[in-house]
Formats: sequence, C-alpha cells, structure tokens
Amino acid sequence: MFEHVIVGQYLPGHSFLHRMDARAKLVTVFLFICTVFMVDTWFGYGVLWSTAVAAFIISGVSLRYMRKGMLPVLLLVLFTFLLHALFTSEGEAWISVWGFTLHGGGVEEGLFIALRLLLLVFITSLLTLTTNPMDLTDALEQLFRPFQRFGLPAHDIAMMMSIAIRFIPTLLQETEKIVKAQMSRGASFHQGSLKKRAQAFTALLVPLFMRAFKRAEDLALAMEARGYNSGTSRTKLRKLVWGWRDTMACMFTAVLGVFLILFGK
Amino acid sequence: MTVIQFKQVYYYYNEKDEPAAADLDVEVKDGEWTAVIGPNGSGKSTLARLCNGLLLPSSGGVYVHGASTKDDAALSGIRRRVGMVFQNPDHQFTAPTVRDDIAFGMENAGVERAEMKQRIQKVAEQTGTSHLLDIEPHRLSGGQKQRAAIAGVLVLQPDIMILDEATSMLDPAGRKAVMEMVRHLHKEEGMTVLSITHSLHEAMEADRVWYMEKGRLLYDRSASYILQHPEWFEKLNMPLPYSYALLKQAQEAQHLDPLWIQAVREAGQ
Repeated sequence: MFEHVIVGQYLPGHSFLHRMDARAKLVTVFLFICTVFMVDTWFGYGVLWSTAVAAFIISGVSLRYMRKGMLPVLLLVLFTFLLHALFTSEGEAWISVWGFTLHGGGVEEGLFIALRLLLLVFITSLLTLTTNPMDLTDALEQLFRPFQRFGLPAHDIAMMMSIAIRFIPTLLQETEKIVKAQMSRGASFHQGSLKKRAQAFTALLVPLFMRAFKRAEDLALAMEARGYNSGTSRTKLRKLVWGWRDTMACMFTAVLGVFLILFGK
Repeated sequence: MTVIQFKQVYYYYNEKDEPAAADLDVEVKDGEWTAVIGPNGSGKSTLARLCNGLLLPSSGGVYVHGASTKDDAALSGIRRRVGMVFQNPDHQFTAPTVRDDIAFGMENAGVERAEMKQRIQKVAEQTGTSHLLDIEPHRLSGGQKQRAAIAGVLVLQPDIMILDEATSMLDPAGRKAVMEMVRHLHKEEGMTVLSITHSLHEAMEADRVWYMEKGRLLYDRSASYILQHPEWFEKLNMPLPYSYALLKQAQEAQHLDPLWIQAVREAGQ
C-alpha cells in the first residue's frame, strides 16, 4: 500500500554522489534550492533541470525507483498547476469552460510552479536516496553547531531527525496494519462520499497517534537505559571526510547559481 | 557476592495509588539467573526498571555493586553495568541500521571510534547478527530484531542483563534463538541474568524463581525446588509445564499402552 513512499529511504551505492561528504551534499542542495527559488526563466529552469538530471544519471539510482517516488507528488503538482492556471488572469485569455477562463499568463505561471515543485522533490529525493541517514543527521548537527551559541539545540535537532527517519518505515507498516484491521471490520478508505472517507481516516489517525505516543515513551526509556543524555558530549561511529569532490560540487553549484541569477533573466 | 540489593524498597507511580513495588528486601548474587514471574500488574517490570535507575525508589534503596541508583554520579556507570532488553524490539531501535543502533550506547558512553568498530564486530559474532549489520531494523524478523537489540546492550559490556519479557512477542523460533543466547551468556560467560517472564518453561531454566503479586515478592524459591514440588505450580496459579501435564495424564490413564506411559514417565523425569 505504501510502496510508493521513498521519503527517508537510502539506496547504498558507490557513485560520485554516494561518496560525497554529507555536509557537502547538504550545502549543495541548499544552494541549488535557493537558485530554484530565485530563477524564473525558461532558460534558467532548463539549465537547473539538466543539472538535476545529470546528477541523477551520475547517482546510478534506477529511473523506475525515482519514478515510483515521484508518483505520489504528481497529484499535488497537478493541483497546484490547476490552481494557478485557473485563478491567475494575466495575459491573453485562451478558453472559457464552466465559468473559468484560462489565461496564457496563468498557464505559464502554473507550469513554472509545477516544475519548481517537481525539481525540489527530485533533488531532495536524490539527496536522501544517496546519503546514509546517519551521515545526513551527523552532517546537519555539524552544520548547525555554530548556531549553538545562539541557543539552537543542534544535537537535539539531529537526534530528532535521525529518529524520525528511522521510524518512517515502521509507522508506514503500522498504518498498513491498522488500515487492514479496520477494513476487515468493514471500514472503507477508497469508497463512499468524501465525508465518509474523511471519517474513516480520522478513525485511522486516533489509534496511529496512540501507538506513536506509546512507542515514543518506550523508546525514551530504552534510550535512557543505554545511557543517553542529550546534555553530554558523545562520540560518533561514523566519520565525515571532506574531499576534493565536495569542494568542487559546492563551487559548481554556487557558480551555477550566481550565473543563472545574474544572466538567466 | 551480591550484585543487586533491594533494601526496603517501595515505589509509587502515584502517591494515592497502591505501591507498584512494596517491601522489596532481596538480593541478586553474581552469576545467578533469577526469573521473576507473576500476573500482569504485579510489579515485575517496575522491579526491573528499579535495577538500572530508570525508576528511583520512593523509599528505601537499590544498590548495584554497592552504588545507589539515587546517586547521580554513579547512575551512568550503573546503566553501563546493567543492560536492559525490553519486550518490544521495535520500540528499542534508535538508528536506521543495526550497526548504528549497536553503536548508540557506546556513542553515549564516549567510546573511541576504533574500539567501537572492534566491539561491534565481536558482539555481532556473539549474537549471530554479523550479516544483519547494514540492514534497517524494520526489515528484520522478530527474533533477529531482539538479537540485534541484545547486541546493542551487550556491546556496553554489562555484567548484569535484565530481560523484561524479551521473548513474549517472538515466534517459537525467535524465542528459541534468544533463549539459547541468554543460556550461553549465563553459562559460558558467567553473566548475571534477571528475566521477567510469563513463561514457566523459561523460568524453570533459572537458578531462582521470584513470584510477585501486588508489588510484593511473595515467594523466592530455587527452580529445582519447584520442579521437585509440582504442587507449587498450582500455588503460583500457573499451568503445569507441558511435560508435567503429559506425565500426569499418563499416570491417570488406565487404558493406554504401558510402554507409552513408561516412555512419557521417563521423558518427564
């Protein structure tokens, strides 16, 4: 039922992207996302998409797997596109159906937003698919560490992220179990009016949250029993190593961003 | 030598309620396997949690190797020496892979990276989890999960292991694998074991059996004593182990093949 969800999943490998330092990947993705939000030309999007596709090819992640992960987002992307296309009245009016008028400017804006959303999901999926979650959280902790002096709990944020990633598949499995248990007693999640389906999902959320709270309580006990104390310094099993490829990737993304922002208009 | 000592321990989850642990005055000896049995809500898990300072006594004291669990300075040392495995292995994993999860306790204890790697290899061989190290916990079977959880505890090199109904959610194969591992740790490596269980079969493997009810420790007997006095099973409100029940049936049966009865008697002995 949840086989399409690839959030937080990691595919081990030996590609250039897999071997990059997690900190460098985070910085690169951050710069890339900033650029995505600042660029608003077809040329700019063409270059950004080409770069993303090139990174995807280098990563060695299978197209089938990526497509599987992108499918659930397509509905959201389509909805966003329609929202912009139907309610933006800029440019030439093209066609009128059921009281809605499609304008050239609205369609163009809808396409931009859809492409932007897809690009964001694509690039962040690529990040998580090629980075071990522990490396990712360690990298976050190290990148946030300078902000600790301003009261940012870097270690706690990283630990929360690590646990959240660890529990995504477990919670999905649990949701599936509850769905099946409720379906066996006559609940319907795919049929009936929107209201009925919404009610069925509410009945799903209550046991799911109850179990999640119980699980959180047990986990806290188990962590404490193994000596966890967020205030004390800890050692790390994994070591992050910054190499030449990391510097190159960061520089490339920064230069690309500056180029597109300055000359991509 | 005494490794855990309860001195007049009372514990209240809520002061208005009955105590979850009452008048506990008992010791666990070094290298001994103690099984704690009793109905639900009898205070077994409370007793286990008092042992490594997850709960602190409302009155009285719990001492591990002479150090009080109420002593903040001693607490991290106590937790390193007293490993605890919980009922549901799914609720114990903190990291996305078995390897990282095994390392979790060592990271908390400040163990150096090189030593961590050595200890992980060793404990993985010991628990038969070497081939599972890079796998995500949700992909493991129940027995594999519990073995990985035990590895995460053993890697801290504790000398006391507490199993809080650690086999109750496992299938027979998983239960057998975990029990074999505990047996090995106890017999070959001299580890002190305190196992909370509903299974009499498991309890009979222990050196001593504690029976708890309403927070109190009512009986403290050796497993061999209970085995020699089957009437105790009735006293403890527990069903007879299968071999005993079979033997009893055979003794009562008049029309069965005498050879079969003899075979069952011998098996029961």
